[in-house]
Amino acid sequence: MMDKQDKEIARLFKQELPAAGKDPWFTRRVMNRLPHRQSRRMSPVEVACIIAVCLLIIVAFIIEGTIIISSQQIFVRDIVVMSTLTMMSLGVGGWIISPYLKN
Amino acid sequence: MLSTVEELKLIARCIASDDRDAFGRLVDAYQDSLRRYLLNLTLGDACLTDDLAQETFIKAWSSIRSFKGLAKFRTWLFRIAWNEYISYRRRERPTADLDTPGADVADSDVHSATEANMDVQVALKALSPKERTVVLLYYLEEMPVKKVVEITGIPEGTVKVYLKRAREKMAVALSN
Repeated sequence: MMDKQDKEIARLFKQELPAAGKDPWFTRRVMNRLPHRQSRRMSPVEVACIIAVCLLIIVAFIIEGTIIISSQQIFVRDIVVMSTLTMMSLGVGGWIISPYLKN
Repeated sequence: MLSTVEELKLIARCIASDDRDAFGRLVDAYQDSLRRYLLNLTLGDACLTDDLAQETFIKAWSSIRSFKGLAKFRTWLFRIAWNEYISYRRRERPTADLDTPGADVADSDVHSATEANMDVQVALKALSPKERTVVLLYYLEEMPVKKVVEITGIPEGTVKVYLKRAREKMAVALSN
């Protein structure tokens, strides 16, 4: 808590000490000097997981495709499974390429 | 002046998506008070003030992911600024002591418009760099003692001693 003397000193400081002059270009100068962020590299474990998931999706597509061809009929279940596998493929693919799109 | 919520939103945008526009708004909000503090810490050296202020914001951008939000952004920014000033002094004057008054008098380019203005700046010159930063943060930036401790890393007891000493020196200088 400030006492009377402190308040007087604070008032004097605010009144008498110089403020740095307005510089409309200061922010621009700082922004021009900001370093670019380095993109995060994936660890070997992350890479291995992504490869495993991709292989699983491919295997699932092959198995489901084989079932559909051998049964020569398409059931609702087949449509749901293929749609789910397609969405998963798009999701994983989007996640992998999004850092490159951002850059 | 940014509210706490606005400030946290801008910081979150900087961290989550490297949003430079958000960081630019933070620079706009804090540059005046930061530059004023540095100008008086460096005893009126405008070029040095500009360099230190820019370096402070660049460091803040580079390490914004380490900002945990436990202290206010302003406190964190001023801590970076104080550390930048110490680094500059160690580079330029490795033998100079931050506790010695007048050690950086040669740096200054005092400019004054009034006699009172000159008296206050003369009074500041009589302080050591550590005393000066404590005094500027406490009186000019109106930060409580706890924030001054967070920014400077100087123990609370020592900060209070510096403030007491500074009041005595300022009283002598202002009476002259």
